[in-house]
Amino acid sequence: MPKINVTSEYRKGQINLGEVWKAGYPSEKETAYTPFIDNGDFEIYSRKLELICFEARQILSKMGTTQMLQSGDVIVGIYTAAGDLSCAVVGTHLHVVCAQIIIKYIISKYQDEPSVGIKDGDLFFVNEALLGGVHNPDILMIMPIFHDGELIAWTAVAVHEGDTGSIDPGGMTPRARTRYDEGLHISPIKVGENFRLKKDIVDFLENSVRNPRQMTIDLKARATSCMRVRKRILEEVVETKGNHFFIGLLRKNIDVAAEAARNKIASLNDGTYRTVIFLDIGIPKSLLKITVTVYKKGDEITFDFNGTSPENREGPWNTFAHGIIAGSAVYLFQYFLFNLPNCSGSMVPFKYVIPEGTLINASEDAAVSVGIITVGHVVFYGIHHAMSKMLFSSPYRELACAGWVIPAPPWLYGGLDQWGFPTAGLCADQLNATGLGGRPDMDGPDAAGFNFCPSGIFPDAEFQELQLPFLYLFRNRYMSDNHGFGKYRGGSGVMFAVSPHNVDSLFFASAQGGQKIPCNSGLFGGYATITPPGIQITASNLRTLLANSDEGIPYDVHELLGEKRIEGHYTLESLMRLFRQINSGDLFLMPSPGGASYGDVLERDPELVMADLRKNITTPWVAQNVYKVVYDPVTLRVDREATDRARRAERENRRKRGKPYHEFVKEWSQRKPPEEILTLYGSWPNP
Amino acid sequence: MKVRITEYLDINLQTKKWCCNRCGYEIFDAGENYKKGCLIYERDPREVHNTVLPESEFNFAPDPDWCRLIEIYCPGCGTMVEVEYLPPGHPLTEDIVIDLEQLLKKYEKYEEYKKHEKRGGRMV
Ligand SMILES: [Zn+2]
Repeated sequence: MPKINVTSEYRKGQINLGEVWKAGYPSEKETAYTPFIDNGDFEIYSRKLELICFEARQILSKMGTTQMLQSGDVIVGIYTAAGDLSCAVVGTHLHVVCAQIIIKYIISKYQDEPSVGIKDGDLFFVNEALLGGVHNPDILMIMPIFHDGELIAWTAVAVHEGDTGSIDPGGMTPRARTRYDEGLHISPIKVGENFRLKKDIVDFLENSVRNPRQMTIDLKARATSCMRVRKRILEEVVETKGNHFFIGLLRKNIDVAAEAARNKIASLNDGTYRTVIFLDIGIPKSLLKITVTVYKKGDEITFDFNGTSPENREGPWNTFAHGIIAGSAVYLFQYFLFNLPNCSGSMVPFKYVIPEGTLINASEDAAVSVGIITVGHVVFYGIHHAMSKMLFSSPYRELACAGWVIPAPPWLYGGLDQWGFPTAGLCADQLNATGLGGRPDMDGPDAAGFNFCPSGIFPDAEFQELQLPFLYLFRNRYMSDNHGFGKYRGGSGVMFAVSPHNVDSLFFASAQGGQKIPCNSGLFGGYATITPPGIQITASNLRTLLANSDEGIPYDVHELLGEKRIEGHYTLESLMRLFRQINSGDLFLMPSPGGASYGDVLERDPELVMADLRKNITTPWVAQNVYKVVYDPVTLRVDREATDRARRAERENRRKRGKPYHEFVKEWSQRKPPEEILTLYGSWPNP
Repeated sequence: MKVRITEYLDINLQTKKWCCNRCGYEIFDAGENYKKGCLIYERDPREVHNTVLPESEFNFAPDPDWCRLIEIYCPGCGTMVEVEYLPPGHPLTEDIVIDLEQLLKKYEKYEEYKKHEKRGGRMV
């Protein structure tokens, strides 16, 4: 292979990402050894590998400092000698797809390259999104595992880092227009050799970012995790059961998962299932369209994304095709494949059609740092709903749920911290308190977490205030009506307000669409979730109110906006907010929205509506106007008969006001949105 | 025999029709988009999604110039079987196309199995 750089290799198709993200064919050794793994040993030792990863993940989370690492958005994985993922413990399933592409790249490029080579004790560092990561803040460390001089496996850890040396703090700036605005793009390099980090490379990395201390601490956390996995595999598996057993075990994990995934798919009804989603994004805003069509036949599923808006250069919300495959893994492992191992075998029966030139198969120099969390979220949601429509009529009906909230907005910060050290990053708060979608049997859980990392932690407020120069004005109340309304409502989320504290000011930004049109309609007649704006209050008198322990300090967003007890300049705007200076005493608000809902609002148990009123999750306006519940406003006692009457009347109203399909389409198809909101859309209505 | 396909829609395997799961109303041919047999209603999304500061351009509710709420009802009982949030004029989505042939085969086998084994299976 000629020595050219990653972007030109990608452009020329020399990095073939088409199939490398899924398990390759077994090697001769694997084929020979796998049949000799007995089922008892398989149970015990595949679990043991998971526990080894789990321990390493704990080490990583306890040692590291970046927000996403502390909240658990990581992967620790064990890969075959060829780079196929056999076992992983994850916070976010995105990385189930990612690291193996990079390992395969390292093998093909450097194994026989005399100036590099792959040796025992090497630690590779990589954050090049073109090679398989979803965006460059995701920094991976990858270590080969040797036994008696033979390469028998790999281990990798991935964590989202706080800064990449991009044009704005945090590595995910809404200002980026090409990859060259997004900071470091490091193709695999050895950050460590002979089981030690190399000082010159660590210095180089420290020197390239805004938060050098964090970079080094987190590098050490990654290296420790990799070495711990290697040590335990060698001591507790390879040396006790033999090299051949371990190689066979890794492959059997993959083969068993692939067979199980095929069996699950075969039990579903053949057919075509589709979701069409619109995202409003940009400065100025434009509509984008994403179409997800799921074809199911026999024991295979194809995800086809034809009908998606073209790539654009107005911001960093494009993704690479492998990012979309990674996004599908997030849905699959949370729902349909929830009981299968996090390994490449589980994804063998899935195929992808991701048209070139679209937002989701962007060219090599596109800005993509915000893509996975904007457009990628939307794709993830589209897959979720299309799959739910398939799963309802299957043995997995309980998995036919409405989606998580879309969008969960990234919130970025930068500046000097309360000790005078530079700090930058992506906050974990608002991502990890969103609501889950309604289910066929119950409401979505409230403040459930982050759709990319359901096991993630909503960081403790006091701990956040200790490590960051923040003061939370409010953060711990559900925001009423910020979920989808339905038979089973979406889980509620929260909205919180933060002020820079013990510093003069900080720089804040957020990067999300979804204020003009909801990205997630509900499922089976349920309504969509809220479309929350970005809010800030500058020139405020908050510090005076706090100094006086003022009784009128608001504790949620309805109090804040409804009563305006804080004086100042209020701004309500898009969540696509460029970096701005927020002074101590001013407020920057971020939403953590609720989930989409399931089923017709008129089928919701009125007592559940009353329970939500008591908890301030629902407002009386919604109880009366949307759910059509008649109740005593003081005692919240439901008048069953009057409620039945009101709901019967509403059903009659629907039958009267609804138009037959063809009559409706005749008028509807004459209409079109204003041209100025279709600038990035592609051709109307089908890009 | 009716097979339940969604919360509100069944397919009748004998008549090959989409039917309402709540009232039994025969909606449309099962080989076609069920929405063709439903009642469709377009509304301002703010009738359902309440605004917090109505005077602001960004007010927590979808913008009616960008987004219309499309409700899809069973003509028999008025149950809302599906909703869509679409920009004005965008075609409705054909969201479910069942492979009827496979479905029929699958349940033929299922029925035979039930008769043969003399034990009831779960209706799916
Ligand atoms: Zn009906």
